[in-house]
Amino acid sequence: MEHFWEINKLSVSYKTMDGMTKAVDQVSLYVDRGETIGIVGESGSGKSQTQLAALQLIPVPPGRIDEGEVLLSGRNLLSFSRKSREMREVRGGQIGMIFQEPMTSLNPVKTIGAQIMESITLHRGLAKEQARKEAVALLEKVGILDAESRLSDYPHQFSGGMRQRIMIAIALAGDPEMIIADEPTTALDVTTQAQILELLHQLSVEKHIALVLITHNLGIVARYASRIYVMYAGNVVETGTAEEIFHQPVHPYTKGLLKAVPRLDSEDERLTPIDGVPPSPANRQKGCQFAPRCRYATEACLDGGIPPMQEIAPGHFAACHLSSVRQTAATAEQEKQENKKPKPAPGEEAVLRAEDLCVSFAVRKGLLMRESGRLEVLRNVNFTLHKGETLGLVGESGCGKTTTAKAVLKLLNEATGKVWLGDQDLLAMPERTFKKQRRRIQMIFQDPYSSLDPRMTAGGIVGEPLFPYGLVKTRQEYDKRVDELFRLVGLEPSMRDRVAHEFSGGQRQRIGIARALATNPDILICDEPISALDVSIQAQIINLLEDLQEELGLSYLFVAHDLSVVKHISHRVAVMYLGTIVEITSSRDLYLDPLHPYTRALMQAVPIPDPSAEKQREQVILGGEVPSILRRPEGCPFSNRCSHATDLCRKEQPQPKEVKEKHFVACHLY
Amino acid sequence: MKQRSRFSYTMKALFSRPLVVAAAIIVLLFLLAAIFAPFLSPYDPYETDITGALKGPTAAHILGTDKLGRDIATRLMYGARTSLLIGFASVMISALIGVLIGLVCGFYGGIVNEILSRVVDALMSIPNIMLAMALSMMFSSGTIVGLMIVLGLATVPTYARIMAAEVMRIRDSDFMVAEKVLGMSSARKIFSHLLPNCISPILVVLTANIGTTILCESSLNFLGLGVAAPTASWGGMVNEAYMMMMLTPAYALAPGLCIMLLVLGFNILGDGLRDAIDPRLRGTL
Repeated sequence: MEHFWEINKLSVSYKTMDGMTKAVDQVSLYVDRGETIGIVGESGSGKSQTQLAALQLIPVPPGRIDEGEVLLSGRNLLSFSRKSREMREVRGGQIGMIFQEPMTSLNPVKTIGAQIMESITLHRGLAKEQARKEAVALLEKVGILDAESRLSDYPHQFSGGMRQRIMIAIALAGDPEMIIADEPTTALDVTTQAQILELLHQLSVEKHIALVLITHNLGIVARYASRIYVMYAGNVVETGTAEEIFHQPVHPYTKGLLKAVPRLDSEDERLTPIDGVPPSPANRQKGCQFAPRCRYATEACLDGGIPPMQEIAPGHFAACHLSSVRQTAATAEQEKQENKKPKPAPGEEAVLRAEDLCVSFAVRKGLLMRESGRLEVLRNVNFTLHKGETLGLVGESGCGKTTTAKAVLKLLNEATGKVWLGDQDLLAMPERTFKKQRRRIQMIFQDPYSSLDPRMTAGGIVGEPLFPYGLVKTRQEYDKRVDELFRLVGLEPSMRDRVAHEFSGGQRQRIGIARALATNPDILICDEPISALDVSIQAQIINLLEDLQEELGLSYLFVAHDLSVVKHISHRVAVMYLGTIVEITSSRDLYLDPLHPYTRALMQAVPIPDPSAEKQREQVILGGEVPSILRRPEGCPFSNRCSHATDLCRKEQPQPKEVKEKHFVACHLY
Repeated sequence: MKQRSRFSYTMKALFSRPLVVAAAIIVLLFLLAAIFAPFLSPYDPYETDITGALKGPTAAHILGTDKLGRDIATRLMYGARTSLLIGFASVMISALIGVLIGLVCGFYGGIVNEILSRVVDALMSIPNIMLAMALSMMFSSGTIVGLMIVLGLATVPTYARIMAAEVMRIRDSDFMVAEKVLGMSSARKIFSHLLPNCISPILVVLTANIGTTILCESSLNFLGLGVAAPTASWGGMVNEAYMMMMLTPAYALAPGLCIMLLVLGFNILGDGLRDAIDPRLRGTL
């Protein structure tokens, strides 16, 4: 049977300083008309490279397409040269593309109208007037209000979500039969993500467009893709229908991936991480690429060459040397060993308490820089963190979660209110006095790359505070303590002398955690500690944080945008919206009985990596986007997006109320 | 260890280009000639011999003799000493002062930065050579040390500015926030973290500036504002010779070519270093 788009045994390699490295290795896949497929993989798995190479969009040199064919309705695209008229007609014409960064994929100096019309006139040969009409129609189609007048606006006048809509309009401008969306929502908020995905889905149904969703997020493909390709280290390791992949996965990597991701709808059992790190394209293995991290691997896996695709069921293929019987036996064994004890309950003692915490920046205008107003980033934030507890702080961009984290660390001079560390208000203390106490409250950063000094050795970074705080007296004590800290976070002490960039992202994050632990703190502020890591590594760090909490009795303020992760790790969760906490309750309660309309919308927007669970969920997609703090609505900050909003909501800001036991909501509905 | 391997990576990237290798060889040759001048030449650069003045190239004097009968080739080697010494030393002086000013400006920001930046702005609006001339007429008494200081002071603003910009870029990065969270002292933050992370662009400018400084030094010597008479200097030699250009072309051309080659060498080396350290700038050479 002829498929609409078919890639056969495509291989791509890049020339680097260390010789040729294979980015894509013998990848085959197909898409039929009107079908939605998902390509899932971690960074470096070759998922984007496959598609870019198929469209001859990779830079040559250093890149090179070694072999394979790319068939579009039976025509081999690789037989055309990359700058040929045929290729140009395919790109942006028959095939539209949407990229990850809506901020950089639009030309900032041209109006969006010009950019859409350019594509229309180029691919459809319409006259200017007609193209203009068509552009307006497209913008309306992708949900841009007031399309006619917005044609002459520039990209910077749109929000991220709106820009991604414009990108979709441009992709649609050539009247494509297929759209390749490369991580189309990774840079967007959860509620916006739901809108964009829904829009893409509707368009593909309505216009019978084939849709290729490239993503690292299993939840997204579970909701929309009918078939899924799982890629690892340049190979497709498993492919099948969404149900097969999620319910009867065969390849150990697919299985591992599914167990490593916390799910919103599951009880808090411990995650099972995949050990090790994904291989970089520069050091590919001889045998199965996954073998070094696979718990079932045998010698055949390590030396037996890359395993061929085997058909498990019609249409369900996996590339694994092992029979599924052997695997199952091994899995049962493995699972017995894994402890499934519940999280220890937190203590009663409050270690950190924020009381009416506000942060506002002066807005200055004019020649004399006179203060013309105040930008309120945080408005009366109140919370208590108990000993041994994890309090999750979740919300979309601009909700003030990172600001809260910085404020309680006394990193912002603009913070007012009170932050009680034990019985001392640290905001009232001068920096000089507080400096000596800083060791009690430490921080873990989001970006494991920029948070470690690139010029220092790992040991130097971890051990830096030991001498200044007098925690060690001699060189021997210092060495002993640094080794101890390395072991505590699961790193080999022998790696002490390496510098930061020799470590992988996950290992770097461990170094960051070890540095934070060096001063024996009571509290760790974790600011998105796993969002920059690969999916299979995230579980390792989450488990590490859980173990450390149990072992050392730490309290965590865990800031993240990923609700599934926050729910998994936290005892209690605070949901933030535009600088206020709208709901705060136990994480179990939050999932089972969310009260605030925003919390509910957020819950619904989070995709669950399970196609059958997804089908049963009600799909109510929250409209609009998080407004900028400059344009915060009067009254309840959520009132302009809330379907239950009354006049009272638009006038008066609701105060938090204890609606149920220990369940606080700031909403006029309760 | 990777620290070394990063260094070797930079070196590999640097010397993978023939042009940079050629520049390095030129600089190295001049350096060797300057250091071993007394062994390479049988002549004294200061001993005059009026009877043998202004002779063209001969077997004994491969570049001929100058108006006082001194061997030009020997004078050139001793001139290289002057140029390189002044080049290196004055760049060190200016980098040291500039880096310190930049560190303070960048780290403390605010009013300190405002004031220092405006002073630097004002100084930068005056061409370096003018500034050097003015300083030279005021302070320099024709000694090499005087010239070093004068030329050094003239380029302080460049370093201060680059350093301040670099410090401000690094200052707010996560690892510096981590230092604050750990409660580390300012001295530690500045000298253990900021300085090592900000220094590589300074090294690049420093290398290229040796060339510029040598050019500046030669210009001052040509104008007679540099080192005093008997000391050999290329600028001074060109000054002596340019009126006799038709008579003995080698007399003026040789020091001129030396200036050109050495300056070009340092400039290419600086450019190459910049490209090797920051791959985003690649392709400018």
